[in-house]
Amino acid sequence: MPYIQGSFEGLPEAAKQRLVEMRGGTGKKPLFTSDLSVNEFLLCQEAGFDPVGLVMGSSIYHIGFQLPKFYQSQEMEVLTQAMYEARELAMTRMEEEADILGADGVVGVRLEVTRYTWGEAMAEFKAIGTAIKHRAGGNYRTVDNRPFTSDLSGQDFWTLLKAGYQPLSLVMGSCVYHVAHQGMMQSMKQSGRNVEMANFTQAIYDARELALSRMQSEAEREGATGIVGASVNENNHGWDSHVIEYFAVGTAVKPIEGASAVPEPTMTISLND
Amino acid sequence: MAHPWIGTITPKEMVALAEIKIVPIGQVFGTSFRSISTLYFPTTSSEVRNEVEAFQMMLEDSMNSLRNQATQMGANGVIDMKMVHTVRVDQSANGSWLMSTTIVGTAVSDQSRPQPELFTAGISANDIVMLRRAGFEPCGLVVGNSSYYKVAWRQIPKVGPLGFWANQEVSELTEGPYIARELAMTRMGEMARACGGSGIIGVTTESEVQTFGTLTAGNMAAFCRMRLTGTAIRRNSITHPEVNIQTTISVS
Repeated sequence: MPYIQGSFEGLPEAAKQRLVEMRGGTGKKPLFTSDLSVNEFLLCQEAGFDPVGLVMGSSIYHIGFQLPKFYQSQEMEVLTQAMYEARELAMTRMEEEADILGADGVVGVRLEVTRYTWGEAMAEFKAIGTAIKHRAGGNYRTVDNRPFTSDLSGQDFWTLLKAGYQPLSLVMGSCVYHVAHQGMMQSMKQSGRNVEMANFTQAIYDARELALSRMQSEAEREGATGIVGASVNENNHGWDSHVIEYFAVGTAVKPIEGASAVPEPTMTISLND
Repeated sequence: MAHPWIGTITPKEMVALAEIKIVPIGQVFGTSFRSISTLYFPTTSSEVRNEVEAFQMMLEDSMNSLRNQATQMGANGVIDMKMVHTVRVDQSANGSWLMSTTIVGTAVSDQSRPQPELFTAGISANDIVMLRRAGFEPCGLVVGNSSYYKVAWRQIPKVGPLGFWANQEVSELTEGPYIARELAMTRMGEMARACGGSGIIGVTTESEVQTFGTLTAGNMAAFCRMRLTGTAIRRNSITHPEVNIQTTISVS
């Protein structure tokens, strides 16, 4: 389900109705919801943005099956595809909710994957964040006219804007990789010796590189000059112990045209321990 | 001799509260227990009403108990509130479900607040000070809940033995947590509007999904519990916005 502006097909009717009501669309008093802390809320306000609603997208997804070759390191394309597609479904639904609220973007986005004991091949993918809108208007949407998304906190979002940059999009790269098992002879040769596990090192390097390069490609498509807050997370998601997902995620940013210089920070001694 | 007051706030928070004329009075709590003999699961997708209603009654009981304690102490507000809700099988009563809700907070006297009604807030003393300075005030701890039962019987042809190899969304199950969240969000929003809020901050989400049956057998259903908690806020007519934000580097 790709993002199509103006299409809300992924959302249930009750969600559409509630979001319209939150804008005061059906005669009800407008109301915003947000998972921002007080400090984050006030910093977003100071930066000129009002929170307009807590937005979420979710998908319960059946992850297909792929048999790896026991002695071969390889990408598990079926699983990588599943992790991409399910996250994309959740993100698209979250963006659709933000669109109904008339938001410019979503901050504090958290991507969560939950495996349940009851669904051996199933996982729930969730994207949650707070939709915000600039009081004075302005173009904060992405090149394909989506609301911008970012996993930065309210504090980091404020600092980023003050530093003369704007967030573009939450960019991610995923790679599910099977790390080859060692053969009997190789294991015996290494017995009792200090030695690098070259095939393991190489496999993990390859997987991490694939995840990072995919994240970078997404940022390039968005016209970004950099990615802030990038992290690479490893997760097994309950697969075989030699199958690992490398998930790279960060916020793509670009400089704001005509932005003023970064204000000089003041040094403080905190009363905290 | 007056009893010493008890509060969850730190010395620094006490100093900050004094600046905006809020005085801590004491710790207050409200608790409610309820037993549900059987959770009635419907044959079609719908809310499990007896659990939803039980939670709402428990919330009301524990909030009323907490409010009464605070009012008796002479408070006109309760801040830093925390809610703990548990659901478990009651081992002493065959098959019953035992639910409990406990809410704890610090009762305060807000001397700058002229109106007599008691306000509640799930945010800390420091956050109250920050909000007040920025021209906002808390008006209520707001909670929304839902327990939704979603059947996924039509999924069989897609995720049967042949579908095992394929990546696909289990769209019928996806709807379960979605609808539960919508119901909880709507209830929380109504509660915020009722106490005069124009927005809700610091929303936390607790969710749980249990299933019965299996997809391949074609008798699967998901039981989705969702609970949201936040603090409703509104613009304050008492003070003027006064927040000075600086970029700092801490030397600690």
